[in-house]
Amino acid sequence: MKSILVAAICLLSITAFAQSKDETKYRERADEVRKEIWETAGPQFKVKTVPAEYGNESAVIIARYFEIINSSKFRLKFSLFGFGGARRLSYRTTLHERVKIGDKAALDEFSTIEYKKKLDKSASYAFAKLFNKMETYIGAKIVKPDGKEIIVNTDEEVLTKNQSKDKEGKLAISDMQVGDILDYFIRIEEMQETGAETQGPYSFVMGGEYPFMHYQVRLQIDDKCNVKYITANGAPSFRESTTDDGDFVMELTQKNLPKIESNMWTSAWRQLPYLILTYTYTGKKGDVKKGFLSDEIVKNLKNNILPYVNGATVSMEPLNIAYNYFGGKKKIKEFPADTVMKVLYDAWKFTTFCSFPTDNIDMSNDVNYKTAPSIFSAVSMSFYLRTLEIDHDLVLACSRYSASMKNIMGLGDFDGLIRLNNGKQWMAFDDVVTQFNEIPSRFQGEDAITLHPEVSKRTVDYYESKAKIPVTKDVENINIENISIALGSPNMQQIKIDRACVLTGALRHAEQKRLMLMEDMEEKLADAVNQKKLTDRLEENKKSAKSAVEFAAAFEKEKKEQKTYFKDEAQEQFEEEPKDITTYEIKSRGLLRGENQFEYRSSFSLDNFVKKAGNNFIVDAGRLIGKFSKIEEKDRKRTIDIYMTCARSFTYNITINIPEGYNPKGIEELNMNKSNETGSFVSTASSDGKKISISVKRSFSKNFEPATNWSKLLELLDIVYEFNNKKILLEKKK
Amino acid sequence: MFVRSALSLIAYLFLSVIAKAADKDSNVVISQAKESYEFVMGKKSGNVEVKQSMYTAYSCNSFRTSLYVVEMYNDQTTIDNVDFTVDGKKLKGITPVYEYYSIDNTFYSDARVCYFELPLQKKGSVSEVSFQKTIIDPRYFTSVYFTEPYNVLKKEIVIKVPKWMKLELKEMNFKGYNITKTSSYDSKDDADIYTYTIKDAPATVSERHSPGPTYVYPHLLVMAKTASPNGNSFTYFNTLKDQYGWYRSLVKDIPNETSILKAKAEEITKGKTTDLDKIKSVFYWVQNNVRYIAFEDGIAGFRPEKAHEVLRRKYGDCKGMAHLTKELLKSLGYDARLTWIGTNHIAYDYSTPNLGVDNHMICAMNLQGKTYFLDATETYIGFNEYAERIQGRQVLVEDGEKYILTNIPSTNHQQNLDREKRVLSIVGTDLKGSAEHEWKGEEKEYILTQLNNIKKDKSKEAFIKYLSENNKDYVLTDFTTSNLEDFDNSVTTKYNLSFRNAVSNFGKEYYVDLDFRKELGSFTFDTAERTHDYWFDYKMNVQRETELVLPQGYTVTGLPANVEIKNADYEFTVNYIKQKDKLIYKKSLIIKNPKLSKSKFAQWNKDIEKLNQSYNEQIVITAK
Repeated sequence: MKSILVAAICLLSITAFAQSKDETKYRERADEVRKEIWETAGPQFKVKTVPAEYGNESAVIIARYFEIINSSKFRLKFSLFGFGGARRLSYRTTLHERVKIGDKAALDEFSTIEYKKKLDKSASYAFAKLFNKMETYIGAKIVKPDGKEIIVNTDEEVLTKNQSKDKEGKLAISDMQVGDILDYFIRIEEMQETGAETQGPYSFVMGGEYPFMHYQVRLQIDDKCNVKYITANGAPSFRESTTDDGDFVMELTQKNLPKIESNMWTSAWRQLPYLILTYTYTGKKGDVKKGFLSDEIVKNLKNNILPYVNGATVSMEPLNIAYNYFGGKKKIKEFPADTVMKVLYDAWKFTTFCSFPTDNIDMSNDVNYKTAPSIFSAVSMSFYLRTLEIDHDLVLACSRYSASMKNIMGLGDFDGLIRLNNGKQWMAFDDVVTQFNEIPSRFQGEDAITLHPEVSKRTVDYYESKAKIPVTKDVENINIENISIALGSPNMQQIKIDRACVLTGALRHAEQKRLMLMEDMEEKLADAVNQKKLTDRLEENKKSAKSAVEFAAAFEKEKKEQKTYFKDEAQEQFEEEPKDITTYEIKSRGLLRGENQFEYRSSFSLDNFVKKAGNNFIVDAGRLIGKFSKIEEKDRKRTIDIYMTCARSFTYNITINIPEGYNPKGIEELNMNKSNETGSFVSTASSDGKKISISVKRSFSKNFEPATNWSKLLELLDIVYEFNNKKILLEKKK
Repeated sequence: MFVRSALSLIAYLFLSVIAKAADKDSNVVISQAKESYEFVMGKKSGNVEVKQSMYTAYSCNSFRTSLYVVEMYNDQTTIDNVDFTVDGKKLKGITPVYEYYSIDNTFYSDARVCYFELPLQKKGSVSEVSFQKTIIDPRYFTSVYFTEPYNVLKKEIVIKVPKWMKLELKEMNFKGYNITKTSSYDSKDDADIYTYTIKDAPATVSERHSPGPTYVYPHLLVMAKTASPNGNSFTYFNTLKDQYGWYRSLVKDIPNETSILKAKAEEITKGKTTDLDKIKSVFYWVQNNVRYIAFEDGIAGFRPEKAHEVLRRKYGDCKGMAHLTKELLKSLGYDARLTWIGTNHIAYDYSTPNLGVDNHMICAMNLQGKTYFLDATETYIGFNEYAERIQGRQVLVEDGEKYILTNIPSTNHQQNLDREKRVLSIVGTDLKGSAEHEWKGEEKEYILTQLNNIKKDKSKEAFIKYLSENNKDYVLTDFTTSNLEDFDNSVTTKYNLSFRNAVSNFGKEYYVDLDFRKELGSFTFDTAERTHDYWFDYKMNVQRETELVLPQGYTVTGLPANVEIKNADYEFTVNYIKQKDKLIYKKSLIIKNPKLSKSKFAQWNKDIEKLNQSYNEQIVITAK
């Protein structure tokens, strides 16, 4: 017993000794890193003043240096990482930044550094050990306005996680005040022998939240890696070279990059200059590839993914539902492809969006927002269509709000669609309310790659081609509001509104998901593919019958929330909390083919649209179409192109009853008209003595306009704002 | 801003947060719960410990779901064991996670959380959880709460107090709850057993601007006084003197580098001649140069950092900032003292000695018979101005081996002025003229906080947007402000303004709305929804005056009715005064009592409706 105890004590001492040894090594390495970074930094890190033009900036990045050194060679020094037999990959990442702190907002922003200090995920298998460790070193110094440098004591860190193999730290920067310069770095050193995962993507945007005086990137990647990078939207390229050892070096230096200002109707990935890079260790002599990568990605999809798509790798449920719908595998062939594909699409929607976990029931509004993985869904659908011998193309495209096709880095940057009937019909895999032959607006107008499957006896070959995704017109994305307003007793200042809205195309989705109940959607989708609704299906089986009752209870709970969703919708439109919501109903779901429009109606009261003025009343008529902002002077000049969701049109038909004993005045002021190539605004107003009728039609012709058309768009934005301010006087008859 | 919250309170707040996700509609209820506390003599520690045993049974009423079980611990409280069953069975695959708990606005604390997701497998399912915990010192056992984030059908709280333990239990907020109490004697252990049972307690509700939980939920305030187990003798907080003594033991021997502090104090006060100016300079310097960063780390949560260290770091928590303020003033020869205080988030005062009584530290400064209280964590408040959260509160001021118990002055609404004066004329359908604003007290602090949180290149734009309420037709020019670095005086602005299309013109008549801001206009309460009283951030004192110069040849033919609402809590008045060639609009909105009780919501709503009626009326000006 005694000897065991002694052994245990020895073991404990050894562990404690090892820990302190670790700590000593960490400190030694930290000192080395500190010296290396601060002593070898370029002259930009010696700058102690910023030009007067930056005097009003919250912060100025005097210099930023970002470096990655990746190596499979044992020449980099690390603290904890011994030498083993297996091939190890080391990653050394450095961010070194020198910042002039201009105000308290920046002081707060730069006052704390949070970091993963240590992570040891090394794993042992019998006698083998897979090495996977990372450590982070930080350093900070303050340069006072008089030039005095104060090194921040990093021992003042606090550890929010403090386990032997996993440490997380936080450091509050001491002695920093407005007017000081903060010079800090974060160095992450990793070593792995657990395989060669692709590293990145690392993106470098030419600009940021604060102006940069000096911006430098240096990437040194082992020559046994394949490096891929892209320069987008006019960004400069890396200077490429090699080290004496043959490793790849990519460098970039920029000076005086302005800060990025936000703007309405933009697409950052399409408009900001940036570089993006990934690399992968292959073990063989690699190369650096710059530019268009989509060919390679598509090739990989064709050769390494699509051949393995079959009944065992994708869900067969949508196909089986379609078979059942048409009476079996043989019968289905008797039906026109056009009919079959629509049912198949609904079956896919039904299985994708109406499958709910049965161990934890959540039927809240959140379930309406589920989105489908589009590539996987499109590939699966292509398999179903091939099985049914329906001619189609698998289509790959990019969102207008992400990198364009020429700038993608991987398959994940693509979205998948299906094109049918030589482009007459489409299937998109997006949300529960997307219909057959509806293309989400973010893909419209984009270049696409089409893959046409040709099935021979044993193989499927995909023939690649190019296509342009069709664009919807303003008449296909409609918002119509029929608003009837009752004015009068008992309270002249409270208006009663009966509002019926019709939405089509891209304008439907947000409100459909906000206002509809999944219970209704599930029932309709089930019905469309000859399935019973969820609760009925569950009741059929003894095992699941109990959960049917529970789903019904969860549906019931959610139903109680629907009024709130209508209230929120009205509040958003009129910028006032509606009162007395007496009616709220969905007249048309717009969920399935043949039911193109989403239509809903609600009735409520608003308090702040009528102002009393002596014996008369003033109606804020212009605001009944919603509130619009004036474009500020600083935003009236524009040099970047305009990305809008879609071409679209809005119609408001408003009737206001004229209370007994009053005459309307100022109606003619509501007749306005402006149209140009970017769209139009037409409003008309009239009165028959009993009621006032106002009709407003506004439209935007395209989803994209060049910057040169901004002045024309401004005309439309200005006129709607002008209309917004129009009022009608109800004058007491004398 | 807190020195340190008692653990149970943190847990309570945290639970309140997740309670938002928990349901008022009672899909999940706590069908049964029991919390037992027993005072024992720790064999290893040689100290009295509190063994806590908690059992909770969650029942599923309507549909299967899951919930997060959350239990807090820290340096003074350990979780010794956790166990759970689902419908009577142990479930594999559920592993409690123990990790650092990040509290908003706190840089670092010793708060840790143990949590796991617990399924309720079907309607009628019961999942049971039990925790065993140890509180290492009775001082840290401060309160026991009865309510939970779920409706509770029955919960028992059992406290076993050996005769050698002197303890006081104060019943708080029991009114309106079904709570019964029994007591018995355990002769074997020579201990009294107090058993409280609550039945049918509704779930706790998290609402913004609510009183803190100590005001609203039933709980026991636990006051450990003395213990004498096995011939040992321990004194906890038998009296306030003991609590002060414990605090004092933590602060009295902090080694400060007085020469560094004195040099800095002299530098700060250079050129200042009067005592008051010197004191103000020190206070404003700490406010402006030391960043508030909250630490709540074990015993360090009660002990201030060395003053010269706070000075060097330029950051600190409230204790550090109070300590630095005190030592800088002391180095100049002033009588400055550390002061403990519970903010208005806490319902207690020092009549019930307990670590839950206070949560903040400030500095008290005696000068010529008057005591000033300096709270440098309120970054933009002026000297001798007091934030709502501390004003009127009882404070414990150090006084050598003794202490002084006093109160921070209560200030009225006049401290917090928000004044606007405009002179306007009608030009076409625009209103044109000039305006000036003044902010004092907490209104000034609010404005300066907002402005300093914004990057300075956007700060002026943001200020203008704030003043124009983001109405792009309300155009401000020649905009000037007072020195925004000067916290000692009001913040003021002056500008010219052009309010486009502010006037409706129909024939011979102009219709003008002179109230641009319409404060409180839609500020009503949903009496069916709101559970708790509403506490405004601070007392309100909005004063507006607009002088409208009438166009020549026109006269006022229609005026909205004046408004006069006055009661003990608030006063709203709106007046239109006709003069020969001008019209003066005056509005005063005063909230004297910022704690609006739920019973007054209905009257408040009626009063706001009256105010709103006035807001929705316009002035009519007609050609003579």
